[in-house]
Amino acid sequence: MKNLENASRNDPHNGFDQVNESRRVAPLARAALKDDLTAPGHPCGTGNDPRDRRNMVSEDQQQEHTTQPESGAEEQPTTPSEGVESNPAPSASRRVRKKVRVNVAEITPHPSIWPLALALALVVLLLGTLIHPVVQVIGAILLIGAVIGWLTERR
Amino acid sequence: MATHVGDSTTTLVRRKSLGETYVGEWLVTTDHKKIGLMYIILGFFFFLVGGMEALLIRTQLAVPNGKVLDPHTYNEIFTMHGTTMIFLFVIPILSGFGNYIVPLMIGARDMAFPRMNAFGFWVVFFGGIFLQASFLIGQAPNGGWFMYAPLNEMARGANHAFEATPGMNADFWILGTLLLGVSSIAGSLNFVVTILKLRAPGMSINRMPLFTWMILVMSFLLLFALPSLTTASVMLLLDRHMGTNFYVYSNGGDPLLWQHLFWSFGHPEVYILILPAFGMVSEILPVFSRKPIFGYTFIAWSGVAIGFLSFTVWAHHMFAVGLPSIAQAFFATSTTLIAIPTAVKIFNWVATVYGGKLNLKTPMLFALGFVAMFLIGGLNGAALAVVPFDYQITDTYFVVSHIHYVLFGGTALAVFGAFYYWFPKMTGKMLDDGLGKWHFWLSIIGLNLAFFPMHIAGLLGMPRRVYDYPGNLGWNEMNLLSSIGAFIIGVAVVVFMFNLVKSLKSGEKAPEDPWDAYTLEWDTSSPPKKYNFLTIPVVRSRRPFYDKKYPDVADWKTATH
Repeated sequence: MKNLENASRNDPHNGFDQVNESRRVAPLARAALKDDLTAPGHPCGTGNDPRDRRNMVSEDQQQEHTTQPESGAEEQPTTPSEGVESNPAPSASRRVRKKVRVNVAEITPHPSIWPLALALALVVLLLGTLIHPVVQVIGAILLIGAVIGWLTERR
Repeated sequence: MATHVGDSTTTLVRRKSLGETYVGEWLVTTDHKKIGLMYIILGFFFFLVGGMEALLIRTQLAVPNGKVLDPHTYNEIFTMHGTTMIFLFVIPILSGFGNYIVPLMIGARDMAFPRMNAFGFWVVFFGGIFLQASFLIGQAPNGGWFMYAPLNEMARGANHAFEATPGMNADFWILGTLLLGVSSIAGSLNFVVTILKLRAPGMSINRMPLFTWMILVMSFLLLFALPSLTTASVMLLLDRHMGTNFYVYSNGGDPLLWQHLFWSFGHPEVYILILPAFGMVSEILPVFSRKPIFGYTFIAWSGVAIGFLSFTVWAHHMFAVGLPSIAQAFFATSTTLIAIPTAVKIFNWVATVYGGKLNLKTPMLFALGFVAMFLIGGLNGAALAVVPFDYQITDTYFVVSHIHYVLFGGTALAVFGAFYYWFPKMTGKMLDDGLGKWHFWLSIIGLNLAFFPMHIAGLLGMPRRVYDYPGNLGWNEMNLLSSIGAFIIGVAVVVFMFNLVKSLKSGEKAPEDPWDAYTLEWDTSSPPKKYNFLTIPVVRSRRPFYDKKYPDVADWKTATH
């Protein structure tokens, strides 16, 4: 990985931008990329790109990498928090079965009631402008409560 | 938590949390796909509301001296028609498609700020109810969707007392648009951060799908344009309730200040409403032409150019107020200039289709219809940039025709095309193509019948916003045709709704990639899993999914981007 970066740094057309991109994506995406890049035969930055012929990999490997295991499959992580998935059975013996572990609870946002509560409080506050100052005060209290709830929610 | 104690065993039964019930799951969701769907459903609901208001207007104007509505109600109806269609239909539905599609397109698991995303939706939800609820107490906004001063002021002033809008009508509009502005700011920030920070590895800005590009430009426009509306609205609220005089001429204020502030939001707003539609069409045309988009870079950067120029044209709405000549020349020039990047897009779309292996499915029909209708709307818009011509037809039905060709012939057709295109991804069901074609042709016939005669009515001098008209001015036939056209559009919408229900109930199951498409959202199941992608895809060209499906002829082997 490090060698790849060093070798690629000065060439703008060798796929190094893909590695650079990984620094700008979310940590989870970065982690996924790291796993992919370190997997044997990964084509990122190398492969069959005519602009970079230093590290040739087969198209099978490219195909293997880009296949999304969830496509068309019924698989769902075995528990809400931890799942183990594998690629569909490879048709060619050269393909490497790669297990991908997904922690759904970690990689997807948690539900929260506070966005709804905050929006409702905001509407009550503004409605108070039309109706009565008391409604405005109620709206302000609700707003403060919703903001506190939002900020203190365990994520 | 309840505990049941039996003779020999103890069973713990956990009560379901709110998020585990069917309704509660939607109330507390922060999943961009669910929020996107809620935006789309809400937007479509308000499209029906605004559409019914349009039918009431057209019924009133179908014949001279119509008596379907009373004048006060008519004012409320046309004001709420514009407000509803712009703020509660187009913006939410575009946000909905953006919410659902953009993270999938760029290979992200969700939006950058999921809770803020949900907050934006709920604000527009309550804001919409807030605005429409004004009908229930007979105080709906009645000063036009632009709420011009001094009509928006209360009766006041010792020497110049006038009865303008003494009730709460304008207040509902001010507070409603403030709320919708909050929602738009939250949504825009989210889009900007998501698109700039959460793209899949390898998806450089130069490889982003064009829909994502246009959503990004739209978001920046909203962020920079909305403060102007918010400022104007707060100043109006202060005028009405705190005794300030920003817009009260008799006390040293200036009613034109409202027009300047409103249109410096309002014209970028027009491009806010159309740019994502450009993006939708730029996704649909290449897929159904079996070609890469022609002139990707020009389409993307012409969107940016339109974004910049849109802030320099606002006073072309105000030529008739007596601007200095130099100002008129400036705004006429800038308005004409904006036609250049727009034409660049149209030429590129035509070049994309030219020589392609066309597949005339419903999404493609709507995309082609968009190009044709938007061209008419763009050309009569360029005519409005000519100051002497504008003097003659300002505030006539010619302008009404222009805005409807742009927003219905443009945005709405693109949105319908997007419905047919992405519906299989969102629901796992195909929409019926035959009914879709009926929907398309009825829409095209209806909209041309409704809006083209308005050009002529406008040229004959029919002012917009009139409640009725005498029968001897030569406007009768044009108005009757427009009303018939409006009802044909209504029939088209009924066909679409029937198609939606039928397809959801018993439609053909959609494969993951029914259109043999190019972008990443098709590289997941239909509908996608909660986590979108099991592993984040790596992108090597502008058509990553095409590369994956056709590795022998992958773009990254030959393309230089």
